[in-house]
Amino acid sequence: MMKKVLIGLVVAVLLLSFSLPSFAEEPIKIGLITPLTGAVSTFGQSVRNSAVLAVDTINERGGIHGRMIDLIVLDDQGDATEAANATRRLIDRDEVVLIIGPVITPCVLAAAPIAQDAGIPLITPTGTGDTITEIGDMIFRAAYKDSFQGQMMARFAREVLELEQAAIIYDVANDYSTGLMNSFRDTFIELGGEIVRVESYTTNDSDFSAQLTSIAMRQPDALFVPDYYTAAGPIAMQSRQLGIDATLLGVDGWDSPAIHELAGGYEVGAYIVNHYSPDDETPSTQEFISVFSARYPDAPDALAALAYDAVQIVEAALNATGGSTDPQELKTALGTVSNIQAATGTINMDPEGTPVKAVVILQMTADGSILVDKVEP
Amino acid sequence: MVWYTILIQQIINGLALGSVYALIALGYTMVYGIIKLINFAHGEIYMLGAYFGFFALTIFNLPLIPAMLISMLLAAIIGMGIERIAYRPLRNAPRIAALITAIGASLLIQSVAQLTFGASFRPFPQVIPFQRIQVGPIFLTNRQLIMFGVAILLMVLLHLIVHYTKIGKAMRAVSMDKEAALLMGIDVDKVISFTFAVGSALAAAGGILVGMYYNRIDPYMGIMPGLKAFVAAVLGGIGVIPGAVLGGFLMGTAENLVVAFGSSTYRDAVAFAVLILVLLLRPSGLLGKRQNEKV
Repeated sequence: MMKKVLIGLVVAVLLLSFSLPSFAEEPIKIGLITPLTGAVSTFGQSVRNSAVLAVDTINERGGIHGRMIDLIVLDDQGDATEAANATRRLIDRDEVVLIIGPVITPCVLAAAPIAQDAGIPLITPTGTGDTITEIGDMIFRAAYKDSFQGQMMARFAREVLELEQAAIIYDVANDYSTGLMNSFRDTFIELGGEIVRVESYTTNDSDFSAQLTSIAMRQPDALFVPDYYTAAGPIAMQSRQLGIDATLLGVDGWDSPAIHELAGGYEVGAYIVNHYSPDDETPSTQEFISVFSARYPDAPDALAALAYDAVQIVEAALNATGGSTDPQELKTALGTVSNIQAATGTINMDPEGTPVKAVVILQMTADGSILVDKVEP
Repeated sequence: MVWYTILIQQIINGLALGSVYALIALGYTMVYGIIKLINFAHGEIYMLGAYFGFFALTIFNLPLIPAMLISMLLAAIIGMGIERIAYRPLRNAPRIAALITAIGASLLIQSVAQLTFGASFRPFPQVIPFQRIQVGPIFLTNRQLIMFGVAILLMVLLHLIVHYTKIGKAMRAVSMDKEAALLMGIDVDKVISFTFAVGSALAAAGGILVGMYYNRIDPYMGIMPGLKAFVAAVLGGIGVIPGAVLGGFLMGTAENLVVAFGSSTYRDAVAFAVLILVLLLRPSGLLGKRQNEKV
């Protein structure tokens, strides 16, 4: 009898001694929502690969104040409903302290109000829609805003390329595309250009021939296509085939290795605004590229760079709070961390939620893109 | 450019798209003509056809025509399989049961396709180099001509099969009166299987043509064209083969004109507005015979 009690005691002590230290070093749970499948799957895979890499790098260095980061990755398929479900699951079931993602604007707009209401900070690596950060004080991003992106492209088209007459074809059912269309159009007109035709389509359309035929009749010298690669690729191809020889102007949504095949090579020569260029000589950018290339076969695209940025912003914020995961402290830290040497360059966060940093203009080539211009904030 | 060249240009775009609707609509109308079933899984056969063509062209590096034939053959087998597994056991059940099964089959194929092929959009191999053909102020592309040509060729072939072969005669007999055909010694099951096979093969051809034309395929590409082709079949008169062809071309053209001169937001709405109008004004369709409901 005595023996049994003793054994029981020894087991209890052993269990306690194992559980105690692990109790102190409980990992920091962070959720990642990203479209691993669906219409923008290359975006999601880039973001996932890069975020996992960034988290592993932090964990290898010993975590944050001795605590490892546990990244829980969920697929939203690029679908707003799925994004909302994933957000609820991360908050209710997985009890994460912070969410990174979702990736595309419509998904962020569905997820952010849920995180805001639950009081969990959310940082989208790549969501550019203007209204995202207006949802609440818990919502942040690692990317620039669409209004800024559209302005930059219009400015570049007018001032550097000296294009006079632009046509626009955009997705009327997508906030991202619509926001970009508006800011490009307004700035282009403001700078003395003329918008000769604006045509629209709806998400998942694959036939753009009617709209592009109408545009072809106006013979514009620029065609602005503010959408993701899955639509921009076929539009680039069909526009050339329908006789539009205008300079193609794109946005960060074009940045996918898949665009070359979807556009049938017709995208070569197009200019896009982007968050980063692999040609950028900034030391932190080059360091990111070498870390990424050591692990993955493909060179990192802007999505990968932004995901890395987002994790670095989160790391800086957690360091600033001294490892505390209290949502209020974390929120304040996310809005104030500055001088982060991140993948896309130096980042200073703003309490409004959008970082202040440089943008680049790239020209598409047969095997990727070249850096044409870099505009500092 | 003057307005009528724009109009003609848009009609050409519409006819190219319409020829694909016509190919899909033929499958709907033939199956309806024979067993009075709207085969909602038909749009998925079109999607599978595009994928089979994609794999034949990329993995097996086949030229276009063999790839198309193989894809049509595989689609025909799957079409017959669906009929055998999902519809035949319900042949004498109420029609609504078969209809719901068809919707189930459609969703099943979509999900299985997403699992096996992945949900990403895939670029379709550009097997035919692009060419522009200028005719005065109007231009055509060689792909539009191929789409149109292949569709017309297949439709002529179908016409010949239905009207000048023994199996075609059997198809017509079964569609007129299944019981009487059975009494005359026609193997009704075989005829129905054959009808599914032919319809599925046509849809698969449509899938490859669209993949080539738009350079993009995905597991959900069958939903909208499937529904629009169904409307085309109803517009032409469901069960009437020339009606499906006419309906397809009309739908493609109407859609393009609405986008060109109205708003692209109404692209899909126009199809269903047509459906409502047809059902209200002429339920038997443009080429359908008026029939009084027997009590």
